[in-house]
Amino acid sequence: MMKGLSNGRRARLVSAAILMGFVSAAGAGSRYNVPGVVRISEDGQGGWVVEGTLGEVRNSPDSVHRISCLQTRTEVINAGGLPSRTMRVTCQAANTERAVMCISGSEAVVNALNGVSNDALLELHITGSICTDIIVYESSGTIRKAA
Amino acid sequence: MNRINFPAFLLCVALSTGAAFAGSRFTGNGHVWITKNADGSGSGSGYLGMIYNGPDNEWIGCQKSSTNLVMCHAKNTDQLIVDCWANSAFLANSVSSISADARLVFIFDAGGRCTQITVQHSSAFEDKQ
Repeated sequence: MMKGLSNGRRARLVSAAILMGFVSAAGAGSRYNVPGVVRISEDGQGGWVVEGTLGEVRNSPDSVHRISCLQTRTEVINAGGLPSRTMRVTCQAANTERAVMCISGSEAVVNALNGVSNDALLELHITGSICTDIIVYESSGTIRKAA
Repeated sequence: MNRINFPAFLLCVALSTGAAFAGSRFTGNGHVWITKNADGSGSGSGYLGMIYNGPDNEWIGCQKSSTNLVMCHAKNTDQLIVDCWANSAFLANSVSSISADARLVFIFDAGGRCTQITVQHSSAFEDKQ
């Protein structure tokens, strides 16, 4: 479903989904909970959409839950002074039903992780083993990592 | 479909992080790890949150400037210090992605130039307390 949508339309749908995840906490601001802690759902086109917040997943009592992204940039200057650059992102996630991973060398996808915080929500769009999109959501409602 | 089996997944996690997960939490010590080769090249790595929370005199970090000057440095528990520099908007993007609890790895060449920066974010990593 997401594939046929423009970026703006997809962003609006994502925002709507995020708003639905907010719940009020007693004596505190609203908190955002991902259904199932790590949600891995089919996108209707053979791919997956993964959603999880770094804090809520870490705090989960279920040891299977995890979500992670690793990005590497390499720049080597050759003898002629010209740079050779490569970049790669590898993301992994697991819940009690399945585990998925994806990679990408897309500059836009890798750069999506710029500025990500320690309690951000990560939304991964996966086709095959390729991360086709990474959405980072920062909010007052995302749950902090416990000690 | 990219559904994968669990042993393969766990192997990939171990290979990409350099350590194995136990449960949803990283259980390594997170210390600064420094390598230094005979030609002067080397690397530094560590887990920012765990290092901050630990009792040892060690640190690791990177900075970038408005002119895209990048510097990374680290000190381990043996008080060995390494640093590297680069003038690179490309590598500066990596510094932009470092958060308070990230895993950071930097690699430098024999001339002390930063050639690679890796940043990992994970639900398994400890936050600064």
